[in-house]
Amino acid sequence: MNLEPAPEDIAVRDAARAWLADHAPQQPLRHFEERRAWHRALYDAGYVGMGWPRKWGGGGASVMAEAFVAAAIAETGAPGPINLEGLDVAGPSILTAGTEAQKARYLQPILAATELWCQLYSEPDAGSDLAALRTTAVRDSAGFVANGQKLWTSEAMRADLGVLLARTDPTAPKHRGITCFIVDMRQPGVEVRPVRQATGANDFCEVFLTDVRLDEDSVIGAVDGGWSVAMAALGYERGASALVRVTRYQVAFRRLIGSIQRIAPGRLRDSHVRHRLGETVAHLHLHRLNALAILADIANGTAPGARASIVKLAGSEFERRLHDLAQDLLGPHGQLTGDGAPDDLLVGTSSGGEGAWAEALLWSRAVTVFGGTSEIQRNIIADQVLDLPRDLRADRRAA
Amino acid sequence: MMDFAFTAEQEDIRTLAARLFGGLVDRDLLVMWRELGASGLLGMLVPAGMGGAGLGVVEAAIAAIEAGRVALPAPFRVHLLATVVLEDQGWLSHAMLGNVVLTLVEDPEWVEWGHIADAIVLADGRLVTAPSARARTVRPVMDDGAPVTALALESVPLLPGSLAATAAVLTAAEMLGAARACLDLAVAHARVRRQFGQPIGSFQAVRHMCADMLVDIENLERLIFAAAWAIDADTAEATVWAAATKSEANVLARRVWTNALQVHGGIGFTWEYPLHRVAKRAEALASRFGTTSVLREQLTDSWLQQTGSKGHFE
Repeated sequence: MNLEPAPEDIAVRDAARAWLADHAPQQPLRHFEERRAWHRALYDAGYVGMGWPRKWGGGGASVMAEAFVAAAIAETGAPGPINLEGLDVAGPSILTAGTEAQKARYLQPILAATELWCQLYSEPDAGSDLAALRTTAVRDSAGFVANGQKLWTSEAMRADLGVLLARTDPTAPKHRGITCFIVDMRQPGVEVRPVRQATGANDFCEVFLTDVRLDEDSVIGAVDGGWSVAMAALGYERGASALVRVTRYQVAFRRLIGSIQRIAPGRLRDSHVRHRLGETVAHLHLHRLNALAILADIANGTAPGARASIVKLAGSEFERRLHDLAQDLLGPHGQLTGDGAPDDLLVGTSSGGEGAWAEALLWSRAVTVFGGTSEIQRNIIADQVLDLPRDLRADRRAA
Repeated sequence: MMDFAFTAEQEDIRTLAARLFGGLVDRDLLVMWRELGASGLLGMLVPAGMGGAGLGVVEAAIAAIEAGRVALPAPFRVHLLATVVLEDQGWLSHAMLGNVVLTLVEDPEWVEWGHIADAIVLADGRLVTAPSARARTVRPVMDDGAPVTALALESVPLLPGSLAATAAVLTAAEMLGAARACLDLAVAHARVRRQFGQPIGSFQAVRHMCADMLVDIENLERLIFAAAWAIDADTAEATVWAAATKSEANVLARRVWTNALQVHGGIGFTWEYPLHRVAKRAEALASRFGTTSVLREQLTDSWLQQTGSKGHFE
């Protein structure tokens, strides 16, 4: 047991805090072009892709230092980099399974956000059961031809490139026979339609693929080996982001208390309110420890495994409760949307951007769904940690 | 380097404590105390210079978890806490060897094992030997493996912050051990109990209840060892981290034993089946060394009072 960070990681964090004191945006970034400019500033300062190999434009930093800097950015209340599907999905997939030519071609533009990416995984009939995906990629003389429909594709309307999971062997068991491809999103046959969410915004899209061309060298990893490529990248996504998420909760909680001190200071003397505040303080502490534990696992070369599920489940359920409390304390102020809310009632949301408390509340109901629902996490824990008898599933009975 | 893993020595303490407590759980207290004294476990928190093992709260928490796992019917935790403050070197030597049984007073109305202890230790290190306590009334409480006594004591000092933190963390650790035993029983039961032609552990409602229990247990373990480390490292956060730990232990341990009983169905509600012993231990200690509402009030104060720079939780 040692919770003292390594001095070199603290030094990197403190340097980032000093840089942020001079450079962090003073106003909420309400528009994408502002986010892109902020990304560029972070990139130029060396704070994007810190953990990636130097050879490919990264910083070669430790996983701890990288997370500490990401958290330092979140402490300021500013959003992090854009192009998250590139940084968290495409990049790790190419880094772990791609060819040298793919690394040389794609990685640096991901970091600089000169090429924006999306992730073409989920489908209308393949959500939690992602391996049931039905989009096909059929081999022909020039490579592959893809057909199908994808859904919940974040940032597809801006994306230049996509990471696609498509079925290349329909006769194989469902987790085999899937291949991971790089798709040019600007080609004919790729049709992107925005999906308006409950928040009113269009962060997601559905993507229709009609006779889309995929070159032979667009395959990441082995043909029919796409499932393991995707799983490796998913693990990376959960591990590295946990500390940022918790830091965002801490900032939100501080802003909430600040707002209550302005709106209704008497509430902070109410014993029921104080009871719930104390509970939240304990939970913030717990989830920060959980994030650090995941990072320590990765840093020490231990695969977090099912611990990632425990942390994802507990953390996302906490986010819901945090917003339950916020809504109760804010009263009608909590109903304001980002378009109309004053800057002091804006807060980071789990979309990765900013919104008012109303949007943050709605997003807190999405975190228990995306990235693996709470129910899927409980299944993983029941199977992998508790070794309970498998639940009855029609697809297992058929197999 | 940040590391949440235990050292080989700490794993050895876990193994030793599990073996001793498992083997001694049904033995007479005097026999048990001699064995534990011989093993060195009773002197773990006494500095090496005073004849103890000079270990920390992390190691003591590891042992307390194992005591909770078997709902040890003995004052292991309060005896350890008493050795931390006891000033009398003679009594301390005997306490480490297991020749005498100690307890620590949090509240004179509710003294754990006060009816048997050879010496009652007050938070300021003073000692009241058995004959001088004017009255000893054993109170009829739910967990008969952790009896409490009302003692006629006057001018009992409050626990100082560091001792309160250690007491909160070790009490939470014993609760965690008991909660783990509840989960282990529930999972074992869910694997073999069959209804509707299949193990109930294959029903998603039951699987998910068990998964939630594991999450609660893992979270509590994380809180306990972070706070224990903070006390051992003498960091400024130690007191509030301990308060956070015990406030959550009370809630999480209760949720775990409640779910465990639900998974068991009727058998879990019987006296013969072992669940009620560990469930009651997990529950009983919620009332000692920090109740949730009091601790949450402290946490709220500590958060609201932190100004400007980073507080204890960042």
